[in-house]
Formats: sequence, C-alpha cells, structure tokens
Amino acid sequence: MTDPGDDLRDRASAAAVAVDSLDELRQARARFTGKKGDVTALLKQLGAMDPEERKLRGQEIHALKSDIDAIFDQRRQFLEDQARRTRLEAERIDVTLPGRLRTTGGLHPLESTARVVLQTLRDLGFTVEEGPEVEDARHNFDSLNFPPDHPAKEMQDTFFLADPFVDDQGAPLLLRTHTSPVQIRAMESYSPPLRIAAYGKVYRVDADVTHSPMFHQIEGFWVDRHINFRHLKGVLTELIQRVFGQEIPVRFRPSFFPFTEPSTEVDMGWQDGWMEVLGAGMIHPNVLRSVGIDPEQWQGFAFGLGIERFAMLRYGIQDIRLLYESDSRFLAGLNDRTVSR
Amino acid sequence: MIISYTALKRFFPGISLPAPQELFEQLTAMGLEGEAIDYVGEMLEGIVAARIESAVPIEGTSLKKLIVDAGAEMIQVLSAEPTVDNGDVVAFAAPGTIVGDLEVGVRTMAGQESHGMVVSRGEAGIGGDYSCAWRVDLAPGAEVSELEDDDALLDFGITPNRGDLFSHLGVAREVGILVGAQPAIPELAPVPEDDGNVCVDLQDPDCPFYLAIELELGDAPQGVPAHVEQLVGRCGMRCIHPLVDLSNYVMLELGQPTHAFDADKIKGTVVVRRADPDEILATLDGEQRKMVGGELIIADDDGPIALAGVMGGARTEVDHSTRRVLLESAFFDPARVARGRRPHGLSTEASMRFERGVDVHGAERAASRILEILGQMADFRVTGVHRAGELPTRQTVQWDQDRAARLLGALPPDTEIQAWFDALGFVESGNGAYTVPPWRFDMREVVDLAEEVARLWGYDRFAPQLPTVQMAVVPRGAGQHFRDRVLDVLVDLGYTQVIHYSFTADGDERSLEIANPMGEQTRYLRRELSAGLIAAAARNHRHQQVDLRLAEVGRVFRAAGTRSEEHWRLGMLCSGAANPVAWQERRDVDFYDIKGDLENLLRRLGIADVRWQPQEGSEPWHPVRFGVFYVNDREAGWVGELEPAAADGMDVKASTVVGECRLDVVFDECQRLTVPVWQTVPSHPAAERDAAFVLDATVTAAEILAAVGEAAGPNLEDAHVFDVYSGTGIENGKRSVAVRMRFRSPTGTLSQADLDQSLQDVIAAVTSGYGATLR
Repeated sequence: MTDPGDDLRDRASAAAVAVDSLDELRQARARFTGKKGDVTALLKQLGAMDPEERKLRGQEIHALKSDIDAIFDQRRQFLEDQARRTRLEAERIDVTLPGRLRTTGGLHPLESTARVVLQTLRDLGFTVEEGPEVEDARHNFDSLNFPPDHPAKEMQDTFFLADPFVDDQGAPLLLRTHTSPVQIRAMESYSPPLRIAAYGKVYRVDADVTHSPMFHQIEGFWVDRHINFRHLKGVLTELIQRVFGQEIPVRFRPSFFPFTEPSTEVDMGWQDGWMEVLGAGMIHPNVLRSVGIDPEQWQGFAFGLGIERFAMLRYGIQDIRLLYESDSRFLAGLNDRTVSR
Repeated sequence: MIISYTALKRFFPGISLPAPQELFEQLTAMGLEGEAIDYVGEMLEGIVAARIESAVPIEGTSLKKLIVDAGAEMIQVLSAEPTVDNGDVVAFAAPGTIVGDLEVGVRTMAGQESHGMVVSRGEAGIGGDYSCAWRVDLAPGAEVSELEDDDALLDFGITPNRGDLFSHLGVAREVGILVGAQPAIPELAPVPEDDGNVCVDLQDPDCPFYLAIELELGDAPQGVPAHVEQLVGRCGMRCIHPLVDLSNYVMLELGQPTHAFDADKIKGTVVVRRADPDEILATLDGEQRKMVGGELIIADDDGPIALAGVMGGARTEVDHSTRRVLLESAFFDPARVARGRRPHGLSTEASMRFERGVDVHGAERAASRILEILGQMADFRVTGVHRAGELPTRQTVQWDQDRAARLLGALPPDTEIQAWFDALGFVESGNGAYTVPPWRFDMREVVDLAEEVARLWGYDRFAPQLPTVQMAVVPRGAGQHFRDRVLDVLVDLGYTQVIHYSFTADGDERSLEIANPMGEQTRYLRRELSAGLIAAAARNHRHQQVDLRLAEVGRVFRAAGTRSEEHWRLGMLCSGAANPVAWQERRDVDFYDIKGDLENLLRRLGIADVRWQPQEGSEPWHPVRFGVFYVNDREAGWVGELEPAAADGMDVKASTVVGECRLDVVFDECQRLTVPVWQTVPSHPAAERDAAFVLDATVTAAEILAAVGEAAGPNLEDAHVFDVYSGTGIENGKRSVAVRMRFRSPTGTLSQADLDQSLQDVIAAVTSGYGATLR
C-alpha cells in the first residue's frame, strides 16, 4: 500500500511550483495545512485511534506537515526574492552617466610655476617675505646702488604715480620695477644671517608678445659670513634643475646689475641653444652699507627671476598676453596637476 | 654694438684671431653678451652683377625702366636712381633674394612691372651709399660677394658699466687678453701745441677737458676712404657728410665721440657752460629744444650751439660749403650728459658713450686720428689749437686677495691674476693698490677687481657648491602661506584662478593715478577686483564659455592722503549653470552660490562668526540682491548679483554673481584663532520644536533668528531656518519662514512643559516683534 503522506507531499510540491504569486501560494497552502486542508483532515482522524496507533500516526502526520510547510516556505522565499528583484530592477541607474560634479578648478599657470620655485626655495631653507607694490625710489633704486643718473636706471622704464603721491623726500612714488626692494626691507627689519625669498607683481613700461607692463618675479637672497660665488652657482643650479629637470645644463655668464658684483646671467640649455632664465650676483657692498650691514663681516648672493618666462618655458606658451586674459579654455588646458597643493 | 671682424683684425697684425663664431662665444663668456653674427658673404647671397642693356625714363616719374642682363636671362627692372645708364654693370637682386631685412618681390610701379631691384651698398648692409647703385666690375651673373672681404659682423649687448666696450679698440682689448697680445694702436702724429689762435672758455667742472682744433680746408672733401665708409655702414650708421662720417668712424674705432662745427657760423667766443632755463637750441635732428636749465652746453655769443656730448646744433652744422671747421674732442662727465639729454628724450651714439664713460685720455688720440685720415681726404691746415682744462686724475683701487677668495670661493694662481691686471691696463702703485685704466669707470673696490678675475678665469671654473650652514629655525612666511591656503580651498570648490592687471581705466578721488600711463588702460591702479572679473566673464561669454567660476587673489590700492595703501583681496565670480552637468536638472547660479562658497572658505579657515546684512545694490548690482558681510563685526566683503540690464550692457550673457573678500581682515582674524579646548559631549537628549511664521518679506532670517535666540531661553542649542515659502496661500509681500529649534539642558532631560514654555516665548517674541502670524 502506498503511503498517503507521500502522495500529499508530491501534490504539495506540484501545487507550490504551479503558482507565481504570494496570494496564490497562500491559497494553495491552505488547501493542505489550512483549517480545511488535507493534512488538518488527517490530524482530525487521530482522535478515533487507539493510543498506540495515534502516537505512531501522530508522529508521521507532524513530519508530513513540517515537510509541506518547508515546501511552501521555500516557494514563498523564492517568490519574495523574485518580487524584490523586480521592484529593484525598476530602480536601475546608468553608472556611466557623470557623477554630481563640482566644476573642476585649477591654479593659474603662473601660480603653479611660482609654487614650484618657492617650494624648492623653502626646501633650501628660505623664508618667504613680502613688500609693497607701490614703492619709493629709495627702496626700488637708491639703496640698491643705482646712481641717480646712471643709465642702468633706464634698463627699467618705471611707472610713476601722479601728484600728490610722494615719499618722505617729496619724490614721486612708483610701481616697483623688481622684487629687489623686498631685499632692502628685509635687511632693514632683520639681522643677518638671512635667507629670504619674495614673490610678487612688478611693473615696467613695456608691452609686446614677451613683455607685459605687469609681471611676476621671485627674488631670493642669502647673507651670511661665508656665502660665496660657488654657493650662488650651487643653489641656482639646484633651483633650475629642480624646476626644469635634473639633466638641464646650466651656464653662468658675466653680466651687470647695479646691486651685485660680480654679476651673472644664468642660461639653461633649451632647444639646441641657451635660454636666459635668471639674473644673479654677489650682493654689492653698497647695498649692504645702505642698510647698515658691514660688508667686511657679511656677504652673500641675490637672484631674481621672471615667473612669466619660467611659465612660458614650462608650458610652451608663445604669447604672454594669454596669461592675463582669463580665457577659461586656455586656463583649463594648463591645469598643472604635477604641482602639489 | 656691432663689431666688424675685419676692423678688429687690424688691431692684431700678424696674429691670427679665433674664427668669428669662436670669438663670439669666448667674448660672451667674458661678459659681452653675444646677440647675433652676420656674415657679409651671406648678406650678399643672391646679389649678382647685371649689365644694363637699355635704360628708358618713364615719363611723369623719376623712374627708369631698365632691361638688364643678369647672366642667365634678360630682366625688366625699375630704378629710381638717376645716374644708371646703358652699359653700367650694377648689383642686382632677383625676386626672392633677401636684401637687408627685406625679401625682394615683383612690384608694379607706374603701370610697369619690376622683377627685382638694383641694389646700393647701403641697402645691402655692407656699408656705403644708400641712394647710389653699386657699380661692380664683374661679368653679368657673377655673385657680387666675390668683391668683398669675408667680414663677419658680431653684435654684442654691452652692459651699462662697460662704456669702454662701445668701440673696436675696447673690444680689441678684451680680445687681446684672449690671444695674449696687446692691441696695436696705430702710430699717430700728435696734435700741435696750443697756439693762442683759438680760445674756448671752459666754465664748468663737468667738462674737465676740452680740446678745440680749428682747421681750414683747401677744398671740400668729396668723400671718405673706403674702409671708413665701410665700417660706418656695417656698424649700422648712415653716411651723412664726409666730416661727420669721419667723426663717426673714429668714434666706432676708438670710442671717442667728437664734433665738427662750421667755424664760420660761430659768433664770438666758444663757451662750455650750463644752460639757463628757456634758452633755445635747434638741434641737428630739426627740433627746437627749450633748455630746462642746468644742461651742459657749448655756446657762442648768440646762445647754445650744442648739447654737450649729446647733439650739435643746426646753426653751426657743417655742410658742403664749409671751409673752416672747429673740431671738438672733449671729456664730459657721464652723469651730466645723462642729465642733459634726459629732459629732451634724446639718446645718441655720442650720449650713449659719454654717459657710460669715455676714455679720459682718449680725446687727443681721437683728434690725431681724425687729422690723419682727413689728410687722405682733403687739403687742410690747422689754424688754431686750444686745450682747455686738465685731464682728471686717475683713480686707484685696492686689491685684497683674501677678501676676493672669500667672496668667490676660489681663486686662480696669483701670477695669472697679475697678468690679467696687467693686460687690463691696471698699473700697480704699491701695497696692492692699482691705478685704474682711464677707460674703466666701474672700478671702485675690491669686489670690482674680483669680478674681473672671475670673468677672465671663467665663471665655469667655479665649481657649484651647496653651502654648509649652521642649523636655524626659519619661520614660514605667514602671509604667503595663508593666500596659498585660500587659493587651494577655492580650487577645491571648483574655481579657476585668474590673474588680471592691477591697472584700470576708471578711477575716482581715492584712486592712485599713474603719471606716465601706457594709454588709458593703465591710468589708475585698481581699487577692487570685480571689474576685472566681469570683463573676464564677458570675454569668455563671447566664446560660448558661459559656466564659469573664477577667483583672483591680488592687491587693491587706494589713496591715503599722499600715501598709498594696498590690501590683499579675494575676488570671486560665478556665471551660468550652478551644476554644469548636462543631464541633471540645470540651475542658474545665484547669490547663495558665492555666499555658500565664501562661508565654506571662512569655516575652513576657522572663522565661525560671519554676519550678513542686506544693502541696496547700486549700478551695476541688483538693488535687492546685494549684501555685505562682517567677520567678528569687521566689514570683510560683499556679494552681489549683476542686474540683468547692466550685465547686458557689459556683454555679460548669463546670470552672474560676484563677491569680494578682504583677505587682510580675514588674515588678521585667523591670526587670533586659539587652540580649541576639550569639552565633554552632552549627556542628556535634545528635543526639537518647529515654528513657521508668516511675516513681511523684508524681515530677514537673521532678524528672526536673533529674536528666537533672545526669547528661547538658555536651553536653546541651535536654531536655523529649514523652509522658506511664498506663493499660494501666503499674502502678497509676505512669506513664511519656518524655524527649527533644538533644546538641550546640561543638567537633565527637558520636560514637555519646559519645551512648550520656550516655544510659546519664541512665538510671542516673533509675533509681537515683527507682526508675524503662525502658519
């Protein structure tokens, strides 16, 4: 005789698989384990049995019920999973669409370039100082050993302020033509030894493809008891090679600046030739005297470089004017990620 | 300064010089900055001999139509040179040839085509006449370079301290050190002794020495010797008059400017003196120059006849009928020459040399040289000589080997140094003191001699070395570091840094004005950054770049009495879409974008106390979308939206918001920040209560929150606006502002009754204070 339980199990499995919704599943399940279900009916028959048989049959029926519950639970789990899956599918996104971006910002190429230079100088132990852009003749020229009528003064055509803007001597104020006045101001404020850099805007009456009436310079100077010309060469070679590459050849040529003696212009190898990148020299004794430092005790070097020139070389920019026009396409193209911020 | 290699070689008879390119590089390493080399052979490349087969004047013009045989073919060419004729063989350049700096082309004049040009020596750049065709003795088609030497023209930049290098002799002295030989200066007959026949009244110490020679010419000199014309032309000067050309030649050769006056045009006595204000000198360039006073001048009884060391006067100019000449060869003080020419905006070959210093002892030599060459040009006799004044005494300079070694970090052997000093013309006068050669004006102390040693040894001989230093703590530049941080935050917030000129065309009574602007755009220094940012936005909008976030950190300037004040500013501009990603819902930027970015910046810098206040925006700002903000109650900046019509007027094509922040104020406040002190986290729960008020739209959120803060009692931890609404259901001119308050007590859990009481107090305060109703 076949076990009626096995038959019920097979029917329950078939019924569970046959339905596709949780509602139908509930109804199908009721047909077996509900109040009027087949399993319930079997349980009801137990009452009429003698205790020995009841015990035996009772165990069988409970086992059967738990098997059928498992069948329906499993199916319910499956259908629930399926329903959630369907629900989530409707929430699908396209991960390739752009994220919620802020605009990508960036530093100006002059700023990026200046930071590379300043960082190198800081690494060499220089402190960054600043001074005013509107200067007086004493700081811009006189203390820097420019004689009153020497043609050196005309190497730099100066913007002067109109009346009534004058210095203590009644001479017109001017827009600084270089960052060297910061040297004077720093030496007036602190005692040697000094290792100071300055960065900022400077102004000259000049405008073409490579000259702008406003441009940026970095100035540096180092005064101590023993700082000599070989140190000047060492520090500036290090600076140029850190900015433009370790293999770049560097050349020092004799030159002239009123505030240094000996003076040098520094070239670096560039496209089969030489490109002048900075001016430097041993600080002239008259400059030290002008700020009350004894040139018999103290000596050192100073240098100045144009950030525009550095940036134009670094980025291959041909026309200086582009740097001040704020064309967002130009600036976006020169967003220099190699500069640490 | 252009140096002719051929002329240079004349100083070194029997010695072979390095080739031009090599010499050029060696001199550059000695401090003459080599700028260019031109070879005469290359300059003449393509210029050939051409025989004129026919020459027909073109009626109504000064042109002639020439048919020339240039060797390979017959060519039609036009020439304005009156003397060219049949049978002449001239220098000719076919189209495509480079003559001087210009490429010859096919031109049409008077309806006739000209296939090339007839070339003068001047035009070819090799020295000589400009207007006269260059006659050559060559077969048609032959290159004219065959006729010339292999000269090379070396162009050097001369630094202002080396006036002595503005001559071939000066450069030859440097070359002499290279090749180990002194330049040979030609033997010259001395200028005759003073004879009392001519007298110069020397009244000013800034002309210590003035040699005047009066000459009588037998006939008018017709021209100068070929080598004179050649050198003058090759050094870039034009030939003008034989006497002037001769003077220029000697200046180029020996460095001494001289001047020839027509002695018959001088009235009375020649005086060297300072000019009085308003004296008039008509100079050779055709200008009437009114003296400012104090210029050193040469004058006669009728007034100035030359601006000393700068330019002669037209009244005493030599011309072709000149028979009596007063030749001036003098020394003028460099600074006085500079002061004399500067007010007149003049710069001449002579002033350039005098200003930088001319060989104090060169005046006699130059005069002798002129007399020598003049003898080859014309019959003349010296009718008067006067040497006024005395040569200045020569200076000495002290050498200090230890000091130089300390300065340079290394020194070559002493014998080498002594040899250089000798070659440079220094004469030892005992105890390490040296008499400075009279042509050097840049030798004052040991560092000047040290530079000579360094450049002659070669800068490349000094091995680079990093200093050994004593350890020291260096403070970092706080201002620069602060501005770096500001820019970094702005870049993180999506801003592109821009840099604009400090100049502006617009100024007011508080602006600093430039006395010598380069046009209107540089007339004033800017007082704010916003105008530059708006102009940058307009330029970008023209190129369809509409979605912008720009930031500038720079200085602004303003007048403070007769002084200037400068302040660091941050300027920000946003335009176009706030979220420029195309597929998301687009929103235009507004006031709150920049305000939010500014608050973000200030918080990151550690500034918590920022108070905002509406202000009436004036042109070009939106009148009711403008506000100023305060940091710790100090005014620190403003934000405003551009008013649409004003924006349109400035070519700004999209909604645009601008803000400025006073970085010096913020920096100040940042300097006051203190280290935070540890506090316990709250241990009792907080409770929130909301209230929505309907009130006049002009009542600000700040005012409402201030009232809430005052009324809510000590347990209020935070209050903020979480909803603002106007429109349906709200009366016109009013709005609903919903405030969420968070209460917490440090001592225990707040009771329902306490919270209700606080809420009632708040409602009472806002309704009575601002006429609000509860929504």
